[in-house]
Amino acid sequence: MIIDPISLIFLTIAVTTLAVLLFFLTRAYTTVVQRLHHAEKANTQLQNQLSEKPIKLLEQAHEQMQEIIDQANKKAAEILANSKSYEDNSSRVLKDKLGELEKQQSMVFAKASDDMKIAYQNLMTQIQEQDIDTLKTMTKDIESDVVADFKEFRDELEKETINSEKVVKEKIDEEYLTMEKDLNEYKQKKYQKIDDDIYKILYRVSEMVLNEGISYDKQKALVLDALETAKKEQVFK
Amino acid sequence: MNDSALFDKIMATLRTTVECSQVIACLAEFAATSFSSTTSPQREQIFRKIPTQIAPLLNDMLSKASYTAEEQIVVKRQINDLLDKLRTYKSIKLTIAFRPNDETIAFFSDWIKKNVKIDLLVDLQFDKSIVGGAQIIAGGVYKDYSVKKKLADRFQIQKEEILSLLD
Repeated sequence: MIIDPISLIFLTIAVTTLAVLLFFLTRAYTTVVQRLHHAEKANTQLQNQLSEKPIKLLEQAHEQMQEIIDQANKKAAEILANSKSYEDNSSRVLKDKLGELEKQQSMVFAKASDDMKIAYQNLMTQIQEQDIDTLKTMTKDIESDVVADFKEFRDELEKETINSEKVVKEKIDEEYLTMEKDLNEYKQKKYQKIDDDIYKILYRVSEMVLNEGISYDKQKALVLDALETAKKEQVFK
Repeated sequence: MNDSALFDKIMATLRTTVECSQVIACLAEFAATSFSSTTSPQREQIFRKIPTQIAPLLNDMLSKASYTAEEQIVVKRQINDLLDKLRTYKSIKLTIAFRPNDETIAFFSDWIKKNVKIDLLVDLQFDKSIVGGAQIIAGGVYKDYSVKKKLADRFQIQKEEILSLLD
């Protein structure tokens, strides 16, 4: 079997590279193992130191704590002392201040009271004046309203009265005309009846007078006249 | 005298419907006797009821004392013919306001027979209320020529004047 030279070269280079790489890896591993060993040592030492130090530290801490407590107590006593004196001073100052403030407030209040009193009086006066004006205005308004209402009422009453009077007058006139018409008709009928009655009486009297007053010969002549007239009128045809 | 001439004479002599009715009644009564009572007193008794101017004429017709059967038939026929004529005679109704005497009745009848028709009868009626004049009904025509009518017409025409006289 024949191997290609190029492939051979390439293979040689690859093997060489891998060998170099393996060498460096081995060296790095060795170094890391050494460092780990040193770290374990240091750790062991440190653990030993730590197992010895806390007691000391506790003792030191206790001492320091006692000192601090003592100092704190001292400071507290001082503060208390200072605070009492301060309290006294403050109380006195406060009283003074309060007295002064009270005076000031009293003055302020008195002034405010006076101002308010004056303002109130002014306001009251103003309100009173306004009330009086309002009352006067209201009185005038009421008076004008009442006068207007009364005038309106009087006008309406006059109008209604006039209308009622007019209606009543029209009704009376109408009734009067009707009655007058009826009366005239009644009078006319009565007059007519009287005329007719008189006329009938007169007619009847005339009949009676004529009846009694016509002689036999005259009656005969009248009949003959009737016959002659009938003949002329051709009644007999 | 023949029948026609006798009938005409009787009709010319009759004046009113009353007389005609009397003649009819007498003739009917006479015919009803069957000519048995043709004695003079009985005949006079019958004919006494008819107007005096008619009686002689009927006496002429019915004066025989006795009739044979043939004569009875003839007379009977004559009477019936006369009755028929009398019943059909026309008349003029005349209403007057007075009661006329025979003379006046004759006067009116003569006037009618002379001026209208000779065989017309007068039906006279009396009504005092017509005052005077006459109301005439002839041939179904009514005419009022009474004084009452004239008075009413006058009153109607002059009513206003009459009434004014009363005021």
